[in-house]
Amino acid sequence: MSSELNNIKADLLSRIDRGLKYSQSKGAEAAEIYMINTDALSINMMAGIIEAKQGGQIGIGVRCIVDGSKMGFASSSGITDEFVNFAVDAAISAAKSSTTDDRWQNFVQSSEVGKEGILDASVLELTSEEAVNGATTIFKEAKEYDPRIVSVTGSIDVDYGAYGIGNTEGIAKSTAYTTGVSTVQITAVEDGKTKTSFDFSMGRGAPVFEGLGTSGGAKVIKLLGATSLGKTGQMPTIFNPLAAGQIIQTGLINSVNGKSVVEGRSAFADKIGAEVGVPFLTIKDDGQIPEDPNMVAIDDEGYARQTTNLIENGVLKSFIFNNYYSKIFEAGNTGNAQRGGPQSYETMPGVSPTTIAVDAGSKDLQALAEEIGNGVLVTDFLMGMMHSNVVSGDFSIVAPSSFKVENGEIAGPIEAVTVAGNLYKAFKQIISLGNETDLTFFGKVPSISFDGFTVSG
Amino acid sequence: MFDKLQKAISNVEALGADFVEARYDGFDLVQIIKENGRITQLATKKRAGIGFNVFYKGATAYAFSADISPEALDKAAKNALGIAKASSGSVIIKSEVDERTPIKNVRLEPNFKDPAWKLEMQDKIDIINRMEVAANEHGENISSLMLLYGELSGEKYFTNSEGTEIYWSPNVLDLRTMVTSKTQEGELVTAGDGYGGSVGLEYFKQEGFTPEDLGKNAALWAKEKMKAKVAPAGEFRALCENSLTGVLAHESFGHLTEADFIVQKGSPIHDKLGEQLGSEEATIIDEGVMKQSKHVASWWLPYDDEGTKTGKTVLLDKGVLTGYLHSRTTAKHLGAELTGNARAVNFTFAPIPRMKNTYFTPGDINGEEEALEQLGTGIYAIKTAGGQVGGSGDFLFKAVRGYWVENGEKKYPLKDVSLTGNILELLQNVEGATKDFSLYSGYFGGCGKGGQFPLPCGLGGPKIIFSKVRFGGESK
Repeated sequence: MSSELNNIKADLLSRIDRGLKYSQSKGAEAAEIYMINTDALSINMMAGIIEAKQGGQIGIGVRCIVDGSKMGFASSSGITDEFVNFAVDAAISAAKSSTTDDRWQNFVQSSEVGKEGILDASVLELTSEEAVNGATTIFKEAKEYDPRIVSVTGSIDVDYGAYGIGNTEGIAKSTAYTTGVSTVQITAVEDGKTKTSFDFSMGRGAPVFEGLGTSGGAKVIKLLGATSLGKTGQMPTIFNPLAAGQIIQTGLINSVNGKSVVEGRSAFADKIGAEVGVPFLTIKDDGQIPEDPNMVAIDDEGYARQTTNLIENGVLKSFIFNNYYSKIFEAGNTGNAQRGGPQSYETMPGVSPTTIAVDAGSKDLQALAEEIGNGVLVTDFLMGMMHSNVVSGDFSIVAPSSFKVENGEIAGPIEAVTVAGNLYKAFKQIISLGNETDLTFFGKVPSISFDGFTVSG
Repeated sequence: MFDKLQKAISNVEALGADFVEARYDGFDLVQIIKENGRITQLATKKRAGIGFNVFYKGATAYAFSADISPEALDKAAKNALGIAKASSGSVIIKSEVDERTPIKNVRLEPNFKDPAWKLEMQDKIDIINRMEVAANEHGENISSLMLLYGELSGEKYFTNSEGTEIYWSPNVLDLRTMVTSKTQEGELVTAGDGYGGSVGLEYFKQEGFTPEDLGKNAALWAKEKMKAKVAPAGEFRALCENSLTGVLAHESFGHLTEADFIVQKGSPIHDKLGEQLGSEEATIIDEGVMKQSKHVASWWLPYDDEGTKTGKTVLLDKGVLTGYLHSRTTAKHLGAELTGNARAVNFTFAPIPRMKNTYFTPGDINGEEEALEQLGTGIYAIKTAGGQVGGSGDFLFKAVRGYWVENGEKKYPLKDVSLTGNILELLQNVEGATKDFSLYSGYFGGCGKGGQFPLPCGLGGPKIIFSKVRFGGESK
């Protein structure tokens, strides 16, 4: 299996090498080629319907420089010579129409690479029969858990592949990954009122599916019989790891982003060395957690992935950068170049966190509840988080899966509440950190209790 | 292309496939972004590939490839058949389609006076430069200025086991200005203006829509927001501006009518057909081809990705739920008429029920002034940075501009304000709508579902008065 991924890597590097030579023959003064080849299998069991899909990302993204600092970008699906030539020609043509950029220096020059993540053969070996069986098991477990459950979606997703980057500074690097994710989403109804729950498992190997339907089923039944909170005002809140991950990630996505800092859109721009959080808050951008599905050896322009301390004991220590913005800011590259979107090769490398990791505290959920006494426990997916104003930090979200906290106990479920606050003040409004250390879709973030958010319900 | 796709279809039919759909989607995209005086993106993108949706004994599977060699087509079709076979024993609700007369010889191109794809790159850059000049001229204390140009053109081929052959050329053009201004207290406020749709460059020559207008509006609105106050939290009467009502129609109601959610009983209105869900003032429509005009820049969608001609579907008729949005399999399952809503964002996805152009129909209130008068006291919420809705109909929308209104008069501008509630309650609170109507789609942003993002959709409507909306407010 490592031989299959090694073959893909070698193939990418040889195609990149040819493409770079072609770009120079066509007059590019400097060029960079990103090329990706992956395969993925996805099975969704949705209320008895199976939605199945197979196929991966195959494509290239090319940046070319002419006249010293004029840059053009082009991308194409496909990696054969014909598509590589198209993208190189289009990038050179775009560069000629572009403007000079006095801040441009060069593509990545460093030859270092980070550690490669775990490559697990079980992902490549998973058959479509096994994947269908996994999704069906999740579905059946959940469906049989309780008669009030009306709708279940179980999914299995496996993905593997490699990408490579080469440029005319002489770098030629590649990295591979294997990932497996299973999820369940469950809807239950009681007295005409609907609640949904979500559970998941994620890692570098074939996904776990047994037990997921049962745990998701238990979660949704706990949410039934919700009553109205019946008040509006400032009160303490506890966010479980998935919910806390959304708050923390949204709070950092712009504020520590080196591009936003340089372009004048970051609230933390002049705060390096300043206290931005409570003294027991330490947050890293960690691109090197071996069991993290998101781990690779190099970022999306070929710089070594690494671990960066963003906030240490409440003090802002570092921003995150890609090559371009690290040079403008005269700071070190942190390996945070990222090409977003479902087709990564279509995007120019921006700046993005890898995996946000908050150092855990010592309290379990019960202890967090005892500490706040009265308030609200918010769990799982928050609606509207991505519509927060990441410039000012103001957020206002709806939390559909919430519980009352009364006299230090987690009491019954409540109907959707609105929670409003400011993402940047929130770092200083933390009461305590939970003790969880699991990875979720929103990083490695424990439960967090906050003071001072406005809750309405 | 039809021949290549048909060859692969025949090959898997010989291996037992019951029904096969095949697509080639080839898109060419141009994206220009200028930030703070520098062009940071000048990008040309080609996104092309094929996909096969194969039916086998009630199961379906989709496989795709960016490689369009005959071998790659065969491999994708066979992969899809293999997965469909693996699934067929586990399927509970079968995916089947009714037979249909093939549609042949369809070849449709948009009819623009001045198509954007013919413009030289330098002239496209000039357009964003004009927005930039206007924004700088009218703005105050601008800390960040972003200009965007987006263009998609291309070709779509669809064929299937029935022998249907449809070719059409999707198109969208979009211009945006985003301004961030810094207040004296150091707070950053943002505002933007921009429009998009299946239109030619002539659209942006109309008064109110020129690059200069977009730059100026964004700058002036950011300037106004520097003095904005925090919106109060709680329940108020509300007037929602056209683009915001469009988002309400799409996000909070439209998604609940997508028939995959109905078949799965995941939508709170899966058993409510024929029931009075909203007030008599609330009518919501989903439509594929609309007549473009000054205030209508819709997404042009003549056929869906299963080769169904798109129609005009009345979802909510004077408050009564009258329809859902279907693919061929959901229509078969529920015994409903086809609506032409099976859409895929590109070749890497199978089509699923999605919206086209979704809107509230206009009412009889004479414009903004009369609407404010009828509102009396409450919040006038304008434009949106988007929103979200849960499976139960709970929603949250963020209006990016707004005014506190007292006795029919705008008193002061508001900061970003969120509207929350449950759509089924909100529809009952529709009190009236204005005569003016607008609808836009675009290149930037779009609809997301099942990982398929950004799918161009049109959203719009009149201005609507709601007797009661819960506003989230912000922390002090």
